[in-house]
Amino acid sequence: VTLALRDLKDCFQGVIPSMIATCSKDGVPNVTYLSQVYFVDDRHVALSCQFFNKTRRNIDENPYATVVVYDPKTFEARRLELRFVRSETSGALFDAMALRIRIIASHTGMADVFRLTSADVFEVVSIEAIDAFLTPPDEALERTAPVVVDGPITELKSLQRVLNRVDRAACLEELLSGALLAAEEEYGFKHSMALLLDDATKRLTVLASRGYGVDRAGAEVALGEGLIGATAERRAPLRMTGLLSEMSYGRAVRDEVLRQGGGATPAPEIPLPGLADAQAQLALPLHVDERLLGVLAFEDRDPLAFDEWDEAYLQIVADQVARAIDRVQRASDDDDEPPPKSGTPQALAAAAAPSARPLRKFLYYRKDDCVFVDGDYLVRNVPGKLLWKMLTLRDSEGRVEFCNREFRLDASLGLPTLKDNLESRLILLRKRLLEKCPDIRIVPVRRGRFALEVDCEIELREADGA
Amino acid sequence: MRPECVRAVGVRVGRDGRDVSVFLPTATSETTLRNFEDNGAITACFTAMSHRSTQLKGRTASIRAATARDLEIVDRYVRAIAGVLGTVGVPPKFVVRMTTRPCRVVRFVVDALFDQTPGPRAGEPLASEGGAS
Repeated sequence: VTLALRDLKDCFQGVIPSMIATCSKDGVPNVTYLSQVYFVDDRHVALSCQFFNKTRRNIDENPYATVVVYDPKTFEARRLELRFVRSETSGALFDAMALRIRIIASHTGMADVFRLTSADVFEVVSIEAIDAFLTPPDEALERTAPVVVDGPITELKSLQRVLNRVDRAACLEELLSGALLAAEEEYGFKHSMALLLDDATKRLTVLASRGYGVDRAGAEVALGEGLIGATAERRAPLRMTGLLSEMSYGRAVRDEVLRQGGGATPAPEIPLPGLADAQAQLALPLHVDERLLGVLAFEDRDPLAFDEWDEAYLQIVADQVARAIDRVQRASDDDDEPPPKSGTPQALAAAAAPSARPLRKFLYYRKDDCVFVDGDYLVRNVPGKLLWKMLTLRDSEGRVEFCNREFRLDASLGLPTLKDNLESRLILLRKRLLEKCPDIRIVPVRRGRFALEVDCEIELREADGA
Repeated sequence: MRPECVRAVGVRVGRDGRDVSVFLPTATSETTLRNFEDNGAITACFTAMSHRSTQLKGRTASIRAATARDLEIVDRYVRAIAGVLGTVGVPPKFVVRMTTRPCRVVRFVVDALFDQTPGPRAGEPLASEGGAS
């Protein structure tokens, strides 16, 4: 059987580590594992040169290498005979390989230490199927091994059901949680999150998540950071497999550097919002025309959970979700109603009640609009300002009901005049309160209007620095 | 000079901790076995499917056919690797089909030990205390 290099693409996904053998001019062999074999064209592959010190020296002395790769679906082995051609330290190939490494590195706080030195391009001299590596199929033998069940089903009808659900959503929160629920029900993707871009901070904030046990609202990712940040920056879907070995690969370097105590100091590790043992991730940009709204991210413990087809298909879903987000945000922009007067009937009902209720102490740092409750971080930036505004208005004027419009017109909150994302900020604030201070709840009253329900005594204090 | 590598199907460490035997199926290691006879240089790399890996370099001391006791080690290895690869999605029913027989036992004396764990010092020698395990 003649094998073409492009037939081996599955082998290059990194699920089963590949092996590389080189030897010095004196014939001393070296063998090590490779995390990345990159398909360049029908006659070339590239290997990532990061720390392969002995491999590097051997290649300089003797340009021949043998690489053995494995098909993750069949465990068939293929041997590639390679001859070194050149090292690239810039250009499209280098960038593509560096991006993958950067994603792994930034998840583990190793961006400064763990970087691509060069993309080493090799000519593929021969490709050989190592037929003798596996014995012929033998049902009796195979029955002795545990069987892996696979297969989410995808079809046009399910796409229609997802889109119906997304189109019907009346508000942003219903829309996002509905989209994640649909992804699980229709495609079996159980671990997912929706992040929206905050134009003010240029960070992506988790507003809805599914399958993580805890609500991860408020977790943040910077543009360009990790798979999710890179997806947002490039506005293109990104898919990673073999995360377990590669994520722990990044971690190993970090441990090494910390242990050796020398060299660069790694930045604090950015907690990857998600599964600790994810082996496949797929992130899709949510954008309308050129405007980035956020990212939908999925992950799975099965390294083969997402393939090219899923990526293309789910991007269609993501595009519809993005349009629906744009629609509900526009609708919420149109909610115009005068703010309620101070001392409305429900006002101060809470304050008048007997104080057998718990006391919650709120501390607001003016410098970075950060709010703490009983010494724990609650929320910051615009959602922090919004909460503080409501709490002080309740305190000074006895108000418990508020409307979107008054916040939009309030210059001190610094909301942009267009696309202010007020609704997404209120969702985040509501979820953070639910987690950290369930005694205070934000409840919708009617369109564009909401109330603060308070079951505790409140102490308010402001501070300058953080 | 053309380097060659092959996946071993088991390993045993000698009592003194300085000699190591790797089990190689003859069906896939013909070239490698010939290389050993040519110049005797051997390098073996071990990982537990995690980030940490260790490399041994040495000189081939002897090559012989596997005994029934050696093959018990080999069979245990195949079951174990099928389980480990199964956790990353490789169907175990294919992994158990790894060719293991006939099998040669290549014993070599360890000259040097290297830490292959990725990092700025990957490839540097480990403290020379032997005792590989």
